[in-house]
Amino acid sequence: MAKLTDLYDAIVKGNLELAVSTTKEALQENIDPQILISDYLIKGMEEIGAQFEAGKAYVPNLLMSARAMKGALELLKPYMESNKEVATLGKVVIGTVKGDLHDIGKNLVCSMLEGCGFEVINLGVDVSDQKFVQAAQENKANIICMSALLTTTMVYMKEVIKAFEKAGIRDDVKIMVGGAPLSEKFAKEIGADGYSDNANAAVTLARKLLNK
Amino acid sequence: MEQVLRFEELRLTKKSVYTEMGYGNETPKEPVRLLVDELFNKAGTVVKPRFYFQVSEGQIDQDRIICNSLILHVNHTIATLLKNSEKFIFFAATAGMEYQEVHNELSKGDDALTLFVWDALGSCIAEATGDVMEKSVEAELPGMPHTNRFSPGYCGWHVSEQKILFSLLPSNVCGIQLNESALMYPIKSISGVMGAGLHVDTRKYGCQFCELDTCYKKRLKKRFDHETQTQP
Repeated sequence: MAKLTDLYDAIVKGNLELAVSTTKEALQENIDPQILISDYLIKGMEEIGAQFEAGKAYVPNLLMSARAMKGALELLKPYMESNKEVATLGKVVIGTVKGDLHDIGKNLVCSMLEGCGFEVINLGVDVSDQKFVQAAQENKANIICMSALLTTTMVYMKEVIKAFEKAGIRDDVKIMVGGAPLSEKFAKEIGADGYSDNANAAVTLARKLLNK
Repeated sequence: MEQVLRFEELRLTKKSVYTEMGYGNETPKEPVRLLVDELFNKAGTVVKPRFYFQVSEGQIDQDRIICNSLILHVNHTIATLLKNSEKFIFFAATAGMEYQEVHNELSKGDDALTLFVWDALGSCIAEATGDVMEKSVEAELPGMPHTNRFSPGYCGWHVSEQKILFSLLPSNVCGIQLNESALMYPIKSISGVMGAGLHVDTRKYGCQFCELDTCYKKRLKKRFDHETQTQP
C-alpha cells in the first residue's frame, strides 16, 4: 500500500525517485489524483517554500523539490485531462527582455512555476515586445513574466507593457517582473501587476494574481 | 597583455562556489556537493579563462576619470576611492567562450539545478580570473599599491559606460563582445578600472560604499546578516 506521506517527504527533500515511485503506487491503488496534488504535493512545495523564506533551505533545495514535483505531476497529467482547470494553475509566458541575455533567474522561476503546477512557455532571452504579445495571444496566457539584469535593459519592460496595451490585450493578462536591479517601486512605475525578488516569491505572486 | 589561464591556476575553492550559491557559511548536502564536484571536474577540462589589462596615464577630475581624450563618469563614490591614483589599470576578464558554450547547452535542457550550479561556478571563475589579473598587475607595477577593482554597473557608475571603457581596450578583447545594452558576452565576464599609486586607498571594496539600496547584493547581504543574527 502506498505510503502517501512519502510523497510529501519526497517533495520537501527533493527526492525525484521517491516522488515518482510513490505516485505510481498511489495511481495503481486508484487514489484520487486531486488528493495527491492538494494534500501532499502542494503541501510539500509550500513547506519547502516556507523553509526557503525562513532561510532554512536554499535555491538548490527549491529546484530539487520542483523537479520532484514536476516528475509526479507528469504521471498525474493523463488522469487530469478531463479536468483541465485542476490540471494547471494557469499559463505563463516568460522571457528575458530584449537586449539582455541573462537567463539563470528566469530559469529558476520557470522551474518553480512548473513544479507548482503552472504551464510555462519559456521564450528564452533577448525577447522583443512583439514576441511576448504573440506568444501570449497564441497560448492564451494568463500571466506574462519578464526578467532583466541590467539597468539598461529593464526599461524595455515598459515597452512590452505598452505593446500589450496597443494590441488590446493588456487586461487579459497579469504582468509580473523580476531581476536584480528591479524593485517594487519600479514595477509600479511601469504599470506591472507585480514584482518578486526570488523564484519562490514569484510562485506565491502568480497564485495570488490568479486567485489560486 | 592578454593571457589565457588553466582552470587550476584560479585556485578556486568549492567553498566559494557554495557561498555564491547562497549557502553563506553552510555546506550543501550530498547531492548538491556531488554536483559541484562534477562541474568542477568539467570546468577543469573545458574552461579557459582569460584576462587583459593595460596601464594608462590619466587623472581624476571630480567624478570622472580623464584618460587621453576619453572621459569615464565613474561617479562620486568610485572617484573618491580612486583618489591619489598615479596610473589607471583598465581590465577585462572572462570565464571564456568555452564556459559559455556549456552554459548555452545547459540552458536548452530542463535541468535547472545543474544550470544554477554552473552559473554560480561561472561567476566565481570570472572573479577569480580578475584576482589572478591583479597579481599580474602587481608583478608589472612592483612596489606600487593599487585600489580594488571598480566596474560599470556598480556603485553609481552607469553600466552604459561599459562602451567607453571598451573603446579603451583592444577590439574583441579576450573574445568579449558588447551588445547594444552594454552587456558583455560571454556573460561571465568582468571589466573595469583600478587605480595605482603610492598613496591610493587599498581598503577592501564593499557594499558600504554603494548608495544603491535596491541592489541585489545589498538585499542578499541584509538577508544573510539577518539569518546569522537570528540563529542561536
